[in-house]
Amino acid sequence: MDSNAAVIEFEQVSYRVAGKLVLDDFSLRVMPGETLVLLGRSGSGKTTALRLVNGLISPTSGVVRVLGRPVAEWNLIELRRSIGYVIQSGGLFPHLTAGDNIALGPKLAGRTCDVDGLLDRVGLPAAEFRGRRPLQLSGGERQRVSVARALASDPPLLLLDEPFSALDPITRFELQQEFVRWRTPMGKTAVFVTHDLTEALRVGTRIGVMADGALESCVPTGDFKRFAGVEGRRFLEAFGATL
Amino acid sequence: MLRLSGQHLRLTLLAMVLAVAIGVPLAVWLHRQERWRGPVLMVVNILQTVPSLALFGFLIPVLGIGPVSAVFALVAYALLPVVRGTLTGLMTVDPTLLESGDALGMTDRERLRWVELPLAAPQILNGIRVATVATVGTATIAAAIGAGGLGELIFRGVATVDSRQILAGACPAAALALALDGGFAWLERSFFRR
Repeated sequence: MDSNAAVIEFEQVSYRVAGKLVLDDFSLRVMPGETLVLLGRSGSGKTTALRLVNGLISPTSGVVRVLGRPVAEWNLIELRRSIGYVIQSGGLFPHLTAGDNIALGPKLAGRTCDVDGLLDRVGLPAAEFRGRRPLQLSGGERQRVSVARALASDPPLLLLDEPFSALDPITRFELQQEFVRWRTPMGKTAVFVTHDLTEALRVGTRIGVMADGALESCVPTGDFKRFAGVEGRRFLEAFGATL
Repeated sequence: MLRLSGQHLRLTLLAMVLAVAIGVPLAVWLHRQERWRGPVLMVVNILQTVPSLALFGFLIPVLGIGPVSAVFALVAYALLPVVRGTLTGLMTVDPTLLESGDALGMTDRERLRWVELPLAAPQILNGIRVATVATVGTATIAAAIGAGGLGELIFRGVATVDSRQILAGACPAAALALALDGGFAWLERSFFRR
C-alpha cells in the first residue's frame, strides 16, 4: 500500500501530559472511505488520538500526518476546516440557535449550507428545531445537532468522539444505522471513538482496540471476534450478553 | 436643574463610552498576555484607590479646570470594573467551547468575535453597569473643578447650608443612577434570556 494513500497516519506517536504517558508508541493508518473505530475504556487515549489529528494538541514524539502531510506543517485553520469534529460533550455554543451553530463553520469559510437538510439528516424536523438554543434541547438532540454541525462544511474527514453516547438505546441504534447509510455514498473517511463494542461492530469497517495508550489490535470488523486480543476479549466478555 | 441633569448625564455617558472603549480591548489583551495581567491590574487598582477629590486636584495643573479633567478622572475610576468584568467573563468561558471554536477552524479573532465575547457578555455588561452607577455618583464631585453637573447644586447647598439645594442635586443624581441601573437590568434581561 502506498503510504501517501492513507488519509491519516500515526507514526510511532507518543503523547505525554503532566508526566503521564497518554499515548505510547501509537502507529495507525486510516484509509480513504473507511470508518475506523477506536474502541477502549475511558482514559485509554482514544480522545487524545483524535485531538492530535486536527492539531488541538501536538505529539510529544512521533508524527501525525493528514493526507500525507505532517499536521505540524499544515495551516491549522485550513486543516480544521476540512475536518468535521464531534466533541464528546457536543460543544455547541449556548448563545446560538441550533441552526446558527450548524451554519457557523461554513459561514466562517465564506460559504453557506443547507441547515434544514442537515437537521433532517440527523432526524430533527427543521421547522421545530432550527431556532432552538442548546439549553432548550435534550442531551440526545444536542448530540444530533453536533453531528449536523460536523457535516455542515461537507468535510471529507470526520472525527467523532462518542457522538451517540448520551442517547437512549433505540435512538442510538437509529442514528448508528443512519450514519452507516450516508457515510458510504458521501465518501467520508471517519475515525469514530467509542467504548461500546456493539456500536463499534455496527458502525466500524475496522476496529482498533486501545489499552493504556497503546493500540492492541486493529482488524476488520468481521474478523474482530476471531482476532481479538486480551483487551478485545474483555470487551467481548463484557458485552457477551448483548452480542 | 434640567440643564445640570443633562450635563451630568453627558459627563457620565462620555466617560463610560471612553472607559468601555479602553477597558474592553485592554481586558482582551490582558487575557492573552498573562505576564502583563498582574502589573496592569495593579495600576488600574491603584487609580481606583486615589480619593476622587485628590485626583481631580492632581489633574487641574495638567488638563486645566473643566470637563476634560473631569472626564479623564471618571474614566480612570470606571476602568477597573469594566476591565475586571470583561476579564472575568473571558476567563470563565467553558474551555470545551473554546476547543469547539478551534476545531471549527476559527482564527483567534473569529473565536473572540463568535465565542469569547458573546459568552463573556453578561459579565462585561455587569462590569459596565457597576461602573456606570458609580460614575453617576463620582461625577457629582466633578462640579468642584468646574465641570458642571448636578454636583453644582450639591456644592452650592453645602456652601450655603441649604439642605433643599443639596437635595435638589442629590435626588436627581440618585434617580439618574437608578434609571441607568434599570436600563442595564432591562438590557441584560432582553439579551441573556436563554
